[in-house]
Amino acid sequence: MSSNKEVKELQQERTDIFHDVYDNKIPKRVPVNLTIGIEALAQYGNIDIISAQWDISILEDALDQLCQELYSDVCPGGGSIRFPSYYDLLNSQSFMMGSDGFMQHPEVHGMLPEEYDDLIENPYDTLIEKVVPRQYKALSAKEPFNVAISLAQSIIAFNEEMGRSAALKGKMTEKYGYYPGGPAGSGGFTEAPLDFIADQLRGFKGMSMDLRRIPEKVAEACEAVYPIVLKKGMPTNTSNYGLVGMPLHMPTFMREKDFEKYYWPTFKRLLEEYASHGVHVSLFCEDDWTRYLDYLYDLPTDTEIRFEYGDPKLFKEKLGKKHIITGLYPLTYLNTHTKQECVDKAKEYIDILAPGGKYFFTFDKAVVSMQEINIENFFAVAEYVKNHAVYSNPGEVAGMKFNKEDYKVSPSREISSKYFKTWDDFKEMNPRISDKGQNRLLELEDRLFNHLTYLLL
Amino acid sequence: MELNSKYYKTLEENLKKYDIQPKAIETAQDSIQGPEESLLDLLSFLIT
Repeated sequence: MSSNKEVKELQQERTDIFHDVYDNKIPKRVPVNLTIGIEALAQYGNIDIISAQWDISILEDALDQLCQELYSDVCPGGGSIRFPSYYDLLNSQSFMMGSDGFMQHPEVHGMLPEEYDDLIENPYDTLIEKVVPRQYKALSAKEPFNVAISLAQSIIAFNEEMGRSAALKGKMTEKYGYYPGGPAGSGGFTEAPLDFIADQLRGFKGMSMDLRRIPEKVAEACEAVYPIVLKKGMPTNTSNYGLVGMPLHMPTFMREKDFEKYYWPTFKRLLEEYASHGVHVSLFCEDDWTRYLDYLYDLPTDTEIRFEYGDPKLFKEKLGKKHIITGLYPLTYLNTHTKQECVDKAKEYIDILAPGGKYFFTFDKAVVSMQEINIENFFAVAEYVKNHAVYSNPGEVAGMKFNKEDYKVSPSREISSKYFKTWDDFKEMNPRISDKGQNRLLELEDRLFNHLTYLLL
Repeated sequence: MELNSKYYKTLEENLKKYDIQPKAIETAQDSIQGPEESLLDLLSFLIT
C-alpha cells in the first residue's frame, strides 16, 4: 500500500496530465482513461448483477481489487447513469432491467408523428403531458396523487443512487489517487436535438421514416427542443476541465444530405453556444464517422471526441490539431488476439494518435460485460500504455488553443411552459414570497427540470 | 397498527410490486423502501 504522500503525488501527476490535455499542452505521458460498467464489475467480483444494481455499495471490494489490478488514471468503475430503482418506481418502458441484470433500452416511442405540431408549438408541455407519461406509466394522469408520489419517490431514489455511486468512486479516487475529474458542477449530459427526438420521442424507426416523410417537421422540432437540450446539459459551474457528455446516435444511419440539413445545424449551434460560455463537450461518435470528419472539424476547438470505428491515421490527420481524440482501439481485439498482439496494437494506435498531444487512451467502447474481453490482455494493454506512452516534449503547445470569444450564438427561444416556473410565476402563485428566496426556488425548479428531462435521455 | 393506504406500500408490498428476485431482496430493500419512507416522512411533516 502506498503512503498517503505517494497517493497524493500520483493524484497530482494524473491531474496534471489530464489538465495539460485540456490546456492544449503536451502532457508528461498519455492519460489512461479506462472504466468498466457496473455489470462487468459485478461479474469481475463474482457478485450477482441484480443485487449490485439495487445497491452499488456491495461492489466496493470488487472495485478495490480492480483498482489494484488494472492501471487507469481515473477510477475504473462504480459509475452508472441507469439504476433500476427510479426506472421501476416510474414503471418505465424505455429503461428496464433484464432478467440477467443488464439494463435494457428497448425501441419504444413516446410521441406520435401527428404530434409534431404540438412539440413545435409547446415543446416542454408536450414532453411533460404526452411523452413522459407514455414512457413512464406511473406518471399517467389517470391517478394524480399517485403521479405526484411516484415522481417524488423517483427523485429521492435518483439522488440516493447517484450519491452512493459518487461515494464509492470518491472513496477509491482518494485511496488510489485517481484523477477526480472537473470541479463540482462543471459536467453535464445531454443529446443533440435530433437524437433527443429520435431516442425516446419517435424511436429509431420512427425518426428514419419522419426524415423521409416529414423532414421539415423534424427540422422545426429540432429548433423547438433546442433550448431544452441546451439547458439540460449546461453546467452550473464553468471550468476548462468540465465536460458535457453527448452520445451521438443517428448520423451514421442518415444520408449525408439529411445529416447536413436536419442534424447538423442545431447540433453545431449547440456546441458553439456551450463554447461561447467556455463549456466543452465530450462526444461519443457511435459507429463509423469517417464520412463526417470534415463536419467534425468545424466544431469548437478542444471538443473531446471518442470514436468507435475508423482509420486512426486519417482521424488524426483531419482532427488531431484541433480536437481531443480518444477511443478507436477495438475492445473485441482483446478477445481474439494474444497478449503480445494486443500490446503491439496499442503501440500502433499510440504511435499514430499520441504525437502532438490532444489525445488520451481508451478503447472504442466501454466494457459492459466481462465476456467481451480477455481480462489479462486488458490489464496488459493498460500497463503498456502507462509505461510506454511517454512524451519527450512535455509542456510544449499542443495544437490549436480554445478561445470562448471565438463563438457567438444568437439567443435561442426561451423555455416557456406552465410546467417550468419563472420567478414571476412563483410570485403570482404566492404573492407573499420573499425575493430572498428567488435563487433557492429557481434552483429547485432547475433540479426538477433536470430530473424530468433526464428521464428522456 | 399498520398504515393502510393506497398511497403507501410496505416493504413486502413493494418487493412484490417490483418483482424483486429473492437473491436481490437484501440489496434492493433500501433502494425500494427508502424513497417510500422518505416521502411518507415529508408528507406527514407537512401536516405536523
